[in-house]
Amino acid sequence: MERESERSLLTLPARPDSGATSVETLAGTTAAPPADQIMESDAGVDSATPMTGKPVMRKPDPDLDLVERARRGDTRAFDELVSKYTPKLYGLVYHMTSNREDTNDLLQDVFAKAYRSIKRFRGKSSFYTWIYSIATNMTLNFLKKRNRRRTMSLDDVDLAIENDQDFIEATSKSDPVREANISELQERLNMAMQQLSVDHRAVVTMFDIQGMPHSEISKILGVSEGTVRSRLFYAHRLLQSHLEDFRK
Amino acid sequence: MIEKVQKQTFITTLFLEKVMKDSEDIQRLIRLKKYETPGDEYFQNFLEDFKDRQRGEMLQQSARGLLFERVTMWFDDLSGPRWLVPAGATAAAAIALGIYAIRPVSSENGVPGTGIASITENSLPLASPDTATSNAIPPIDEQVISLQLPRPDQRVPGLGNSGRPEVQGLLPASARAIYREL
Repeated sequence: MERESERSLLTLPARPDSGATSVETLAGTTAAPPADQIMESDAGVDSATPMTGKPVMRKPDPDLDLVERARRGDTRAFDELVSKYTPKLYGLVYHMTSNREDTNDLLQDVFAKAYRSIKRFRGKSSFYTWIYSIATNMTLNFLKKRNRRRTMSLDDVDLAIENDQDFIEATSKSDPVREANISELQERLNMAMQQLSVDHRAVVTMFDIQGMPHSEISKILGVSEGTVRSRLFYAHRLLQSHLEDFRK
Repeated sequence: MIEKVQKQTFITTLFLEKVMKDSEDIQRLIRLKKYETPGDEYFQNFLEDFKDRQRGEMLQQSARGLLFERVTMWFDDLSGPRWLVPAGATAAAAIALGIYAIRPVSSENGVPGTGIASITENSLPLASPDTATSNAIPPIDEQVISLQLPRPDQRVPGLGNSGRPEVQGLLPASARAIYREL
C-alpha cells in the first residue's frame, strides 16, 4: 500500500541544509534493492546523479589518505577512521534499533566488515558513503531478521536538550510535552520510530536526526532522491499520528 | 469556472501549508532524539573493544589457515619462475600418488615382496567373551607326580637281581625268551 503511494507525485518542504529549494516536486521511481546487494558501485555515484544523469564534480574524499594507508595494512590509519566515524555510525544504528546493546554489537560487526573489505574499496564513492552503506545494510538486515522482537534499551538523554530551541518551543506550547519529563518524551519518540517500517526509519534517522541531505541518503540507500523524499513524507505522516498529542 | 479553479487552488495551498507545518513540527520533535547518546566514555572505549575483538578473531583462525598462509608465503619467497610452483606441486602430488598406488603391502611379519600379509596375533579377529568360553579348551589341571626310584643296590620285591621281574614258569617258553631280550 505504502509502496504504491510512494510513486505518486508529491510536494514537500525541503530542509535548509539539504541544499534544495524550499518546495520541490517529487516522484518516487524505484524500489530499494535488497540491503545485502548494494555494493560500492551502487552506493557511490561519482559520475552522474541518479536523477539527471549529468556529470557532477565530486569533492575530494577527506579520508583519502587514511584509507590509502589502511589499504596498505596500516592499522593505525584504520583506527583513526574507526574513531572518526564511531559517533556518526552509532547514531545511525542506535536510532534505527532503539537498543544500545544491539547497536554496540552491530557497530563492531560493521567495522570488522569494513576492515576485511577495505582492500576491495576502490574509491568510487567516498569512504563516508561506503561505510555508511555497510552500516545501513547490516542494520536493515538485522532489523528484518529481528522482525517484531522489539525491546528498547535507550541511552541517556544529554541534558543539553534543555537548551535546545526546538525543545523549549515544544515544551512552551504543548501541555503534554511540558508535563512529560524528558525520559517519557524519549520513550514516546522511540516508540513512534519503532512503528515505522525499517526503510522509513532509515530515512527519518538520516534526514531528520542526522541532518544528511537527500542526495547523500539516496547514494547510501541506492534509491532515487524522489524515493527518499516520498519515504520521508509518509514517515512524517505516520509519526504525526503516533505523536498527535505532543504536536498540538 | 475561473473562480472554481481559484478556490481549489486556494484549498490545495492551505492543505499543503498545513502538511508542511505538520511535517516541520514532527521534524523538530524527532530531531530531539539526537540528544540520546551513550556518552564520551563509550566512544573512548569503543576502539579498544574493537581491537580486542579483532585480536580474538585472529587467534581463532584455524591452524589450517595459518599453515596455508605460511606455505603460500614460502612459495612466494622462492626465487625462479612463478609457473614452477604449481607445476612442482602437481608433480610432487602425482609422484606421491604413484608411490602409494604401487607400494607393496607389507608388514613386520609379512612375506616381503609378495604383497601377502601374514596373519599376526594382532590381526586375528577378536572373539567375544561368550565365544571364548564356549570354544576354548578347558584348562588341564596340573598334577605333580613324585616318583621314587630305587637305588641300584636296593631290592625291589617282584624283581630279580638284574632288575627284571622274576618269572616263575607262568609264561610260555617263546614268550620267556622275548622277555629276556627286553
